[in-house]
Amino acid sequence: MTSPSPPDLVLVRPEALAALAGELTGLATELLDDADRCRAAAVSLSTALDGEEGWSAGAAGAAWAELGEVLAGRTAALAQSVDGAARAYVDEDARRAGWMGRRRETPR
Amino acid sequence: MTGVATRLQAAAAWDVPRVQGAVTALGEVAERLPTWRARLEGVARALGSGEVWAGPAAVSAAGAVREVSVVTWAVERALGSSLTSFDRLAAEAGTAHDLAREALGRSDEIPGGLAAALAGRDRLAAAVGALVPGTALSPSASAALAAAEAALRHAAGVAAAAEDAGAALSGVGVREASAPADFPALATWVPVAEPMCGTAAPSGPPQAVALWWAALPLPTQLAALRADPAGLGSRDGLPAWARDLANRQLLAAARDAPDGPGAATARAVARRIQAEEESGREVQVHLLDLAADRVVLVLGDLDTADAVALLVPGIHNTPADDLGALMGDARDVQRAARLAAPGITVATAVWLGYDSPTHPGQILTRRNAVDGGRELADSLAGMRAGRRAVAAADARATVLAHSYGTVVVDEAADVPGVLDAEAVVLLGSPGMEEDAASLEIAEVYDAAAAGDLVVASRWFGTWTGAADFRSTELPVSPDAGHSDYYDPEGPTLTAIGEVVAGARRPG
Repeated sequence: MTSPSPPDLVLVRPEALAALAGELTGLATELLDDADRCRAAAVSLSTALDGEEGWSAGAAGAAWAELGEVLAGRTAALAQSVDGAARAYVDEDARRAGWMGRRRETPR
Repeated sequence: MTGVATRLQAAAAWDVPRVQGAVTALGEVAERLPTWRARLEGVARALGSGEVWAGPAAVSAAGAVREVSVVTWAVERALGSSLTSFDRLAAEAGTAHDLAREALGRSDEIPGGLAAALAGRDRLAAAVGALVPGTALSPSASAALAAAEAALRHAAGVAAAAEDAGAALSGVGVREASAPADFPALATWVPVAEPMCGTAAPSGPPQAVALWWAALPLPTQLAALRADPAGLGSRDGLPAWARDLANRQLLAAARDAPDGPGAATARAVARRIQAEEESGREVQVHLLDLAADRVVLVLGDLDTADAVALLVPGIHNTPADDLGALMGDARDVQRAARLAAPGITVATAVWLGYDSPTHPGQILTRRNAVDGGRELADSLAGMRAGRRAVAAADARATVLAHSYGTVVVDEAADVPGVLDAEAVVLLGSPGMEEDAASLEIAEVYDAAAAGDLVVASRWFGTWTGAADFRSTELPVSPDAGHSDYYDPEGPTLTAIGEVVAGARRPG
């Protein structure tokens, strides 16, 4: 592991960055799946217990699901941002490469 | 029917297996969350390392991912507390359900009926007398009444546990059964900017250290590393990334004190790191104990590699003088393993974690090997535990012991508990105490050149090439000597690479 880069250095390895975005996306999906499991458990609790106890237990289980959804949502948003950054660097590089190529070909 | 009796009927109708199934499902979710967070922190570290992405945007992204990890840590704690209440709820529900059914099943035996008896249960004798003058409550009726009362107590326990399960989430902003609507709202409940206080590292085995570490949020981990690099840089059970960070602090401090203890070793380590990193190779400083002159330097990532190899050298090896040559062997082994199994990731570590003998009083005795064996056993257990702390799958671990290093392995096997490695290769061994099975490692290989005088000495015991030692022999050049087993031109290195990669099987 190397020490953090100086602030004036900008470096990007788009493929590796996209892989990190992919890992974040995978994590968000997994957590969303777990939130679904919490929601199903909440329904089970409120149905299986009935009455006041069922309502309280189901509500707590549903709150578990909501917490998971919030974390998953944030992780998915970060995944999109990181992936977008990787694409933007590549696109910008391609755009500049094209622009410079055209400049060279322009007749005097 | 009274309200109390209605309540008994309700408890008797509860679907307890479904309750238990739901609580089990919640428990599984809670159990997965720390692993999820560890993987998230891996992404945060990769983003923060500057190796994949550097610049202001990268710093912001790493910070944002770290923020999610800290909030997840807080949610993890809240869910754990809530789960304790859910577990209690499931137990209480089961008991209340069984007792309610028992009470209702016997209700006919209670004079006047269960409802009436329960209605007057505070003045039981008077109630019974009033219901059926001149009769006493039969043992069966008493039992039914007791069951009914106990069922009601446990049902109340269910209600309390359900309330507690929700209340346990209040610390992360859950109010009236609703969680914060979005991440910024949730984050306001967690002191993200400030490292939270953590408990001191346990002095227990590596597994306990790994559990302690995994339970800390990332900012607390980083603060702990900054505060105690000497204590944590050598702590078996911490993941390799954390030890590396701590040991690099120690190295930087040693460079600032060029005349301090271990200055020559510090310079050698710094030179080696620079040379490897400038060649594009990843390095981790797994151990830097300058006072005891112990160093473990790694090529690759011990936390994530598919295969890990520890090179345990023999006599006359010091970090200051021999690190360069030993790292060369580590590079060659890494290359050979990658050739044996293209696509796998390999980490090779030069393990100078013991006092390599330098004078006859040490060279000819097992004393240094006894101490080194203990260190090696802890080191192997620590690497395994450290990977679990970052939720990485187990790696195939191979110990490559050369010369006196094989005696260290011999002694490591004598330490209580099984050695945490899948394979060991004994190179030019001066003899082992018992047979291959005594090393507690599933795969035992040996390479013993005919012209190796150290092997011929059999100073420390059985010749590893003997049939009754029962190891698997690796090929050796006919003209090889004691220092030629890692020769890139020889057949032994290729075979070692296959063992490290798991592409060669014993037998």
